[in-house]
Amino acid sequence: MSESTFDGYHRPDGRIGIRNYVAVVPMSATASPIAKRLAADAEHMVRATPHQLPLHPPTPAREQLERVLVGIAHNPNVAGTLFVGLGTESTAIEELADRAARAGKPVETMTIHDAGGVSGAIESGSDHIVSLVDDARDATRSPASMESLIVGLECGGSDATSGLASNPVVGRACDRLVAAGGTGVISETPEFIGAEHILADRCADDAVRDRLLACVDRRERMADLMGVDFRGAQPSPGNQEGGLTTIEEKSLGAIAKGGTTPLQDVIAYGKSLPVGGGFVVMDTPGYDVESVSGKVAGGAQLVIFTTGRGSTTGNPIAPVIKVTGNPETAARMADNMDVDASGVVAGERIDDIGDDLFETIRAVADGQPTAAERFGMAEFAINDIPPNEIASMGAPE
Amino acid sequence: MSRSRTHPTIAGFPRETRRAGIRDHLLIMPSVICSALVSEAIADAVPGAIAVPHDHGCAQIGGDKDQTRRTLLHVAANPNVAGVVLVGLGCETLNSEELAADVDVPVRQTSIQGTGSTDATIAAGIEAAEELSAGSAPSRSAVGIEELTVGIVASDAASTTVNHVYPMLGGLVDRLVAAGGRVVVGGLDPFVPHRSAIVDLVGDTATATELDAMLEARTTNGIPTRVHRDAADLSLADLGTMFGNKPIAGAYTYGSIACHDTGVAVVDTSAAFEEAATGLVAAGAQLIVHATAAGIPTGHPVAPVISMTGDASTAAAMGEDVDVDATATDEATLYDRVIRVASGEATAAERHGLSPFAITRTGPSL
Amino acid sequence: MKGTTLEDAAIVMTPEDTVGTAITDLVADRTLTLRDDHAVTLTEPIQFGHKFALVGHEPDDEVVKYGAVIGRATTTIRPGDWVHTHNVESIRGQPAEDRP
Repeated sequence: MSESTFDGYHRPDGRIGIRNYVAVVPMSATASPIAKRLAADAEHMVRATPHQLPLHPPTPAREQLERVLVGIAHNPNVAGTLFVGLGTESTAIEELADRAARAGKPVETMTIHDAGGVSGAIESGSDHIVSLVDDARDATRSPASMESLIVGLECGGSDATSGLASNPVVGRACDRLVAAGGTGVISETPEFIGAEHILADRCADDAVRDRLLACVDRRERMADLMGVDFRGAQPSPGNQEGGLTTIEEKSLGAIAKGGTTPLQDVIAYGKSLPVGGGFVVMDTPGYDVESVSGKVAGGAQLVIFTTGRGSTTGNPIAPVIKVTGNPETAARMADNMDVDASGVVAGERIDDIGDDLFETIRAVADGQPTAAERFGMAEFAINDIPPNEIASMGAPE
Repeated sequence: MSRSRTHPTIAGFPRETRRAGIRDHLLIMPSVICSALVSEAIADAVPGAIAVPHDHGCAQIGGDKDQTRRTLLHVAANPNVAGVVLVGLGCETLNSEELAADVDVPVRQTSIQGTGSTDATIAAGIEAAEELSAGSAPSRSAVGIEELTVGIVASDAASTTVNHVYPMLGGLVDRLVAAGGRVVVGGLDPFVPHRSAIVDLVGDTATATELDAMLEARTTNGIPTRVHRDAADLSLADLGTMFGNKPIAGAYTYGSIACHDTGVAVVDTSAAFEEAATGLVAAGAQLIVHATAAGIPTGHPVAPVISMTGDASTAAAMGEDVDVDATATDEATLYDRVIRVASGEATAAERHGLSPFAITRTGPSL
Repeated sequence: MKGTTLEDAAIVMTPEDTVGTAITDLVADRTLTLRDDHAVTLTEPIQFGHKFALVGHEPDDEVVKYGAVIGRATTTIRPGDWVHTHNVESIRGQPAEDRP
């Protein structure tokens, strides 16, 4: 194997998976516990994506939900998908399955109604899973290039070291990835507030620039819905303890994850991300778990997640690499961290640690488990669009 | 005690400063999604412990943050909860240490950043849970119906629900209230198209004003739900039967604790069952009766849920998950079922154990 | 690290910055030499990751880190003072009526 390749799963649509999972995707909060139960009772390669959206969300929220559910099935790490519903959801499960099946991978459906209740659904769901697992086992790893990777770049539990150390290290790795032909995705739009002028200057064209600024403006206005100050949530209490004083300071540190290459596109929450797309933005909330889920629904096979305070979350579908730039966190929470970037604070070169991180990306793509994977951390949440947002701001673009 | 001998008693768990529980749960509560899986791992390892994993707790502001906080605190205060272990990450908005300081029941707190790892937090949580349950040997004893708060929610306005279930629920309300018990009704969506008429069922002007404002807010949020549309064609004569023959005695915001002494009150929840159930549990309901034409089979982690349908085909298709077929029973049998479940009889949802925990949000994640 | 480190104790990201960041816990009265012609003496202890003023700020003066505005002073800040939420606020993210 060369330095610039890894062994991945080549899917029928030409995309490359770095894990080989069967996804059990619930249509609603009602169906979520049964999806969780089915995955817990099955083997490790079966992963549930439980969420809390209701049976009948308002249309814009339902459309975003459907996009995410289909996106999970389309993620290259997923070999096959079982959609699980109650059977009365506003979303037609068969139509959703048809959309999901366009990636050429096995998709099955099961509803609690059709199965005649919970025990029937567990039996029927388990049968579907056995068949999907059988199919998935046929997939084997073979060499793939780094240009097939879509890597989500996330931060959570930030502190002052995020902007000084871990985010610039990730920025270096993002530049390497883009140079290798891959896609690096930053998100968490509220964390562009006060730093958007820097990203705007990097936009590939005016259309991208206009979309970026419109997204930031919409997120900034969201606080008005609640009649309060955005500054009540950002920086969070943990951020502040870690030395972050203002939204602008947090944002200026956060955007360092995106490196230095041109910003090629701005993509809506959960929408399909481009392969070979360079550096792009997905418009998501700053809430890290919902943001990661959006990027994974967009096709990210892998996530790099910087944390000063020590966030331990993972994702059911994509491995999450935890990077900390805080020496105390690196020592105290060593079990939950993958990469120690705190050497930057002591004078090590950002580029050297960034190059090491790029190699870690390759190794994790190749199958090396992350700390979150070892602990079975698989947090998942889908961003909801509440009625007051729809009523006063309209549906997002 | 002047309680009439004609009313039955239930076998419950008396609490010192709260109403009696009808279940005796040790609650493992994450303050934020980041500690949800750890909370579940702790609950799995401790007999009698249940987790309430949720998707919230960070990147929330204003009324949305306040509602999540209020709801978590009041779920913890539910009479079915004997003690609480709050589990945080450490840097979240709804910090576990601060929440724990406001929990009135026996409480312990741990956090992932506090202990330094996933495994250490699970170990600390298990130790805390065992400490809370040590020495307590819960046993049931007879308590009166006046200790009981029953939550009622209809998750749809289907004709079978309105025609067959609502009148029986009204009868249940009357019997519970006559025995000194309380009822809280969630799922306000069907009443949105009948706002002025339903407000006329309220006993006092302050409550009427509050209920009117709640329904007004649901109207101006502007998004008609399926339940609104179904209910628009109905008459208030049909809808009002659910409240029995007493005036509505209170109207509570989502996540608030009900404080009326007896009678029936409403809680401002949508008809989405999982979210409505949490609103009712926060209000103090130890038990929930769920009217569902679709046969939604899910329970709630904190309160037993009696699933009841007025749709004969649903009852036939989902038989083992439906506790009460309204087309084949009467009010006395329903009341008796409530008393038996309150005294420990397992519901269908308790048997299969699928009990999601959801909280209604009032604003977007930031 | 990008920026200039001061005696392995603090970092200043760009020459335009009006604040420095402690990269170790710093005691009060410590003097850090910024450039040949300029030194700053800390007026209070500064925790790891927290900021101190390199120059004086009057109320409403812009506070600069990473060469960009991170907020404005809400009180007078002397050189060497701890700079945090007690004396600086975000300019962005305010309710609509207060937004510049």
